[in-house]
Amino acid sequence: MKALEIQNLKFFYMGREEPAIDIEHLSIEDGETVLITGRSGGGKSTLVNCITGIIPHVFHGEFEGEVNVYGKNTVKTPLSKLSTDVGIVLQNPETQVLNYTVEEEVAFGPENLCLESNDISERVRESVDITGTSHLMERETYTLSGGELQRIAIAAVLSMRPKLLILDEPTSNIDPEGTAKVFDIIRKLKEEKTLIVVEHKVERMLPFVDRIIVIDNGKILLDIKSSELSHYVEKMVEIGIEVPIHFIYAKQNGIDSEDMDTIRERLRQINMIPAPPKRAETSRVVMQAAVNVSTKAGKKLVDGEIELQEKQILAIMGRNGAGKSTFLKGLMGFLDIDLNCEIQVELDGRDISREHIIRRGKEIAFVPQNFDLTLISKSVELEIAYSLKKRKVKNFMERVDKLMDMFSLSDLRYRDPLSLSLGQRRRVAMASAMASGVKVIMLDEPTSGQDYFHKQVLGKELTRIKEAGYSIVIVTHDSRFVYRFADRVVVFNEGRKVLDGTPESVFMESRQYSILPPSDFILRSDEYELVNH
Amino acid sequence: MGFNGISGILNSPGEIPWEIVVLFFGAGLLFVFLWGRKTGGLAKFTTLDLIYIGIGAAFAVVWEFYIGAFLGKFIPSNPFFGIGYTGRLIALLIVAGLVRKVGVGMVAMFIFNLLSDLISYGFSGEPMYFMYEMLTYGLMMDIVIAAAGPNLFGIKSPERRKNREKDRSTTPRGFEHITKMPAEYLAAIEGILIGLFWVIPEPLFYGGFISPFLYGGVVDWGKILFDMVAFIPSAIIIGAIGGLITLRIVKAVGQ
Amino acid sequence: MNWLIINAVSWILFFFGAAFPVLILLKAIGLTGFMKVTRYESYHTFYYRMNPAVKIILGIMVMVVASVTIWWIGAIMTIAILLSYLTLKDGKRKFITGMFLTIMTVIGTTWAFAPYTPYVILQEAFHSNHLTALWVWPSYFTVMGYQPSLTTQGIIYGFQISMRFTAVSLMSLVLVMTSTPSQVLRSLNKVGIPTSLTFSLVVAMRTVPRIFEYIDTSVKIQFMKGLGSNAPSILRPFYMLTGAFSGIVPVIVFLVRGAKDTAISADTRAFRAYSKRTYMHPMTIGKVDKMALSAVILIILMTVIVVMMGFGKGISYNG
Repeated sequence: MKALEIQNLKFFYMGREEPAIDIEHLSIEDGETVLITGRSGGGKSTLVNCITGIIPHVFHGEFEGEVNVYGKNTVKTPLSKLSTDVGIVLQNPETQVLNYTVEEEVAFGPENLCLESNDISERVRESVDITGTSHLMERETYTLSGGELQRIAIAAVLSMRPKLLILDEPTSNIDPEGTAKVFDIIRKLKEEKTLIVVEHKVERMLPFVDRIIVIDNGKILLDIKSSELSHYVEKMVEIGIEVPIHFIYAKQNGIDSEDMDTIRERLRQINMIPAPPKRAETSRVVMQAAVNVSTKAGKKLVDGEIELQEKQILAIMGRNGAGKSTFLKGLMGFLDIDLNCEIQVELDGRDISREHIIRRGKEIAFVPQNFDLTLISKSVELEIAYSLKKRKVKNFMERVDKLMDMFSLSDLRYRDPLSLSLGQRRRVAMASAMASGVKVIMLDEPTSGQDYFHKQVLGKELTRIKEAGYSIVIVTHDSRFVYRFADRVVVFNEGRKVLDGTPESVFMESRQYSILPPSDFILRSDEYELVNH
Repeated sequence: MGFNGISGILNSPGEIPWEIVVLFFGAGLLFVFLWGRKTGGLAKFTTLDLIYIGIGAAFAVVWEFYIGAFLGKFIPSNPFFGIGYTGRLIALLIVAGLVRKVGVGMVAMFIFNLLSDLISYGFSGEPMYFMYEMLTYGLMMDIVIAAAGPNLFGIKSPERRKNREKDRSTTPRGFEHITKMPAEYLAAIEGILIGLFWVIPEPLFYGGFISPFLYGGVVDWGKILFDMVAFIPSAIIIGAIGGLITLRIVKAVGQ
Repeated sequence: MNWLIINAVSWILFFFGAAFPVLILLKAIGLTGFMKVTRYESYHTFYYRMNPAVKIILGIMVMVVASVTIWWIGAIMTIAILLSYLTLKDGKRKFITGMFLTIMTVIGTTWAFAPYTPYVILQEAFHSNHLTALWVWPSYFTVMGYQPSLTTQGIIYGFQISMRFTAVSLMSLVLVMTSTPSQVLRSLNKVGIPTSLTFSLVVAMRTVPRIFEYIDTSVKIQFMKGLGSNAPSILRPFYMLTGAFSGIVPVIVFLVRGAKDTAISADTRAFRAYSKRTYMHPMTIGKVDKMALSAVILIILMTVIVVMMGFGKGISYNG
């Protein structure tokens, strides 16, 4: 039986002239595992919303054509009936988890189906077993890490026992360890269910999937067997999809192989191993910070130090709970008053440890992960001018104009920052944070939830800022991003700094802390190959 | 002595006759019932609407019990400006702007009341407050929503494509304003209208009935009228601000 | 000169009479201190095992008893409930925060009543025509409803009135701290409140701590950007408030953006498929509940006796 059959599907959001999705025919067989990929905004989420019935039952617009899931027409079948055939796990576990405790969250669906309490218990047990979360059953959902929360979100959908499971970018908001566990679950489920995984991480998904579908501008651009990927590398790169780096070099150099070792060997033979990204030269130390934080009960949360040089991008990596965010918050003076903190921050040789965040903010900018929360002004211009006005800087418009130029925001001068696109909003938040003449910029997980294209844009932006004389600290889980754009990496584990060096030296050893080196690095590194074989 | 804080004083001098109050609440409940029958009642609220209402109620509670409670120490109780009123009005206007369905005022007031009972009041004076707040503040807001029709606060729901093809004059965006009056004016005016309506319940119902009925308060009609008039300027300002904030939020999220 | 001092002090008292102590308390707790109190955390002591419906009944009982009896019965209940906070998870911290909140309620309520309560009522309450004036207000303060002087009896009266509110506030917090929203909604559903409404309520309850967290972030970032940079540090709490106001729009926009995912998550898991839901752990009345209900009955009987003994409302109360 077909798991999914789509005929002549078109969906227009209200007020839009162009369809968000336009698919003549698509079918997926029962038991298949399919990867759907493509740029953000290309129509992937609209497609999965059409499959789950969210469109047109919840989000309205103009719907044409037919979508059948296990023979059930998604328009004619109520959502509650569809929910036992198709389930969906979303990108951000924070917003999709509704209940206070894990057990309640997993039981939510079966309870809505008015099942008997024994039946509910059985489904809950089964789901937490598959996802390896039975030890979390008694926990409150808000105490879980992103990775744990995402596995609970999967368990909560599995308890509906759907035949078709859709995972919509399930790993883009979580750490490498959590990502690995989600991939483990996908591997297990592959044997039992029909799976549609929407993911940017093509390389990670490749071993699991039978088929790859690329969606762009609402249309199916490619629908290929996963084994055929290497033939379509150029096309995928062209539309901004992240493909394994060795595939690209193989294609460019006419190497007919998909195996990393073979490709590296051949590249070496023809002397075509690409040069590693350029790292910033050693320069003057701008900031030295040591942060030691523990709870009142004596539990050590973080105890580490960093050194930041001028015109340098320093990446902080580590598992969730390794102390990265606490380190950054401690450095900024953001921590709760009920923690024991010993913090030493020296900026340009001046000790600013005792200064209030108002003073620190003059020299250090901080862009939190939820940067939307910082956009308080009614226009982009006012937002960037905010700190200059508050600090009574004379002729501040000059600096505002300069920053607008630097971040390509001049055309958006009078727009409400909150109504801009995600990328634009982040640029406004960064420009506004930097306005008061800071030397150091810190960004907490700026790559989280971003697709390959937007990460490249961010990386180039940061490089430009660095070259303009700023020093940058980023907390991120994305090793490919770090390899390409960072000059130095610090890895935290269980609150302590365990690695510190260039991306090349850190990725040699980072695997033991759940940080997988990117293929960009492995391809270039003979030494890594030797050590890890 | 009374039950659940209700003293039940029905004949305090100057008190609004209880028959009128019963009649008003009765008519209000009948209206809610008939409205529910006609429109589908709670069922017509989508899950998303219910989430918006929950967020609005949470905001109103944070304002009233934490920020407002703190601010209340600095701004003494006075007839010109109410901190609780301000937060609640803004929260409810935002929810109304996001949901834009008749009934949202009453449902949101119910949730706000229930949450307030759970975190602070411990159901004292209930069910009087449920009825009072839903059928005064909530109902008044719903009347304005019903009168404004689909273009509440100048927000026009985007049209279907086929309708749009007939009228090419409109801009091709997911969100648009009605053309006759700038959305900002309409948002401010409707905010003010709701704000002015909201001036009435506290002095009239509370001062004229609930206070003597529940707590043996003294009714002073001079004070009731003065309180209503004195509150008008701040109601106009807060209503207008609330309307504009609502428009900004709805625009930003493209709802 | 004397006139000037009286006026200046009077206006300072008018604006900040209750503010300074509250300000100090707020600084001590911090904005996130509230958050920790309003959060549910699982634990095993009796409050956590009790049916939420019973906790609501307890709350109503506390309120009824406080409103029909003399002030010191309210005070005893306040102390008793506050002490029972020690049985909660992280009890000492909750006890201290509960105590702060109680003190804030006492100060706020006392100040709300002390300058306004008519002398007639105070004289009736204290069975004496003699009132001790602590501070004489300028005569024009009567326009704002003030009595000519602030009296000791006014303050005592305000304090006694506050005992009507403290116990019930603490008891309501117990409900929130010791029951999950779904436990509360299960008991509310049982008494006939539709699933749609209880769902909204759960969203609201989950959103309250998030609003604090987000506003906290927003305010801190505003400080970093120079909010209040030219003002003395004593005024920082005021800037904290203006920062919180400015943060409202972005915080709500952020929450509303996430709401769509929440709706998808609920709707694709059969939310509102039927008018009712079943539960993995249906609400039952256990041993703890029976004990609590017996205690409720006992306290009601004692209250009736106390009132009959003449310890009903000791002071007439004009709300």
